[in-house]
Amino acid sequence: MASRRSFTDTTDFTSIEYGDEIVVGGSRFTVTGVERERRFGIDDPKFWVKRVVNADTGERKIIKLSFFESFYTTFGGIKIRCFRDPEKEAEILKLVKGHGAFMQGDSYYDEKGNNIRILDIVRGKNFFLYLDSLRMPHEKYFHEELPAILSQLVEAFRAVGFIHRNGFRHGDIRSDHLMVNHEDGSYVWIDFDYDYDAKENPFGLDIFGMGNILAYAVGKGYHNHYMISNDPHTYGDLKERITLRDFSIIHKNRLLNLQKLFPYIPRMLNDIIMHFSAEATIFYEFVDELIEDLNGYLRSL
Amino acid sequence: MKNSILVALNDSVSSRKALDYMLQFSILPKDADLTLLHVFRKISAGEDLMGEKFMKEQPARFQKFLEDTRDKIVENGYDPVRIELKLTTETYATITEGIIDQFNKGDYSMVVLGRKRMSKAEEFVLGDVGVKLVRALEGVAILVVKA
Repeated sequence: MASRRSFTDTTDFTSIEYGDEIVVGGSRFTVTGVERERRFGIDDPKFWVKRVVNADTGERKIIKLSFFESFYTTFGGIKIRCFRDPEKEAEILKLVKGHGAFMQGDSYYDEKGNNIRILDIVRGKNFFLYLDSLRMPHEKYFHEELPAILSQLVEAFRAVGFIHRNGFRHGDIRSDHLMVNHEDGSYVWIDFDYDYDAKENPFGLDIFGMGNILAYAVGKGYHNHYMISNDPHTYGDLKERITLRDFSIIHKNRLLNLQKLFPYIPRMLNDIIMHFSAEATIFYEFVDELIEDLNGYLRSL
Repeated sequence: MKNSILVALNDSVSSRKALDYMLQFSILPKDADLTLLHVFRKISAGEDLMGEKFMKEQPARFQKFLEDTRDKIVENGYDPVRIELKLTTETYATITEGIIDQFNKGDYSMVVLGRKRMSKAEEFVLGDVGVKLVRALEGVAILVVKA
């Protein structure tokens, strides 16, 4: 059996393996595994994110090591540079200390100046899996579950507004980066080390991410063109009644005019989601605008 | 009402179009005070890759650009005394914020800017300064010239 190795320099994070020790911030952490990206059936290891146990206290933590990934991606045909920024995540961690809507943790530097974030584990399912676990017909879900979910989402969106007002953006708002705390049902944002170049519209992609989550919540899942075209049992004649304008302005395959699928969705709520569709002429610029509309809908219930 | 116009410019096709539009269609009164403004945005990670030398050259480059623009307006019969050049020394998170800040520091009855052709998706992702100004500014005309 290989002897336990101790790392004070985490630059080569791929070489830090199960059983190794990371020494940082005056504590020793034993690596017990790596975190994985779990979404849409993907299960990719994230080698820079280690599951650890504090060797002194036995407390389980997540350690995120510095990984300067950078790449271009396209949103609705527009090329955007995305990159990981450990310092940004560390700054947000300081800002949101004690704020229940964000993962909690502290950041330190290793001997080579690499930023290391030591994070508390948020216990629960991510929103993507949580919604998937609610097994019931959509109409029952819509009337019985969705109002409470929307109320929680409003609070989660308000939290994003808080970091926006402080000059930060989450950077990677997705349904699997929002955890549903299994103890009290509160929603908690995780993973804010991503960032993107969007000079004139700094919060646009965060708001777009929230629009996606909202559509996912109201639709109890995404409904894409392929599903609509190939599953007449579920979607009936919907494919005959939809146009390109019913789909997302960015994900052109994703249905947003959910009222066409679920006629009992009130126009007031459907219109909020349609702000993210190809039909929209006015977009949300600030989170508060989205929150105001959602609160208006919730008050109308 | 005071004829005072803030013209937001950068070295782009859409800015040149906006200027040409103003000059050719005689919507610019001869007694108007003109402020030609260029706003610097905080350096993004992408621009940082352009290098320190490139970034240091930008103020001089845009000062000359504003001077050339003033000369062009003067050639069209406008009084150079009525034309002020404004190159922001502070940097802003966005161009929109810069224009709004400069607008609030002055007394303007109109803001003029160009707008490049963009799709809805581009407008959503990249943002549209014209739309943001229309939303943010009060008591002023905003002329957006589409390239």
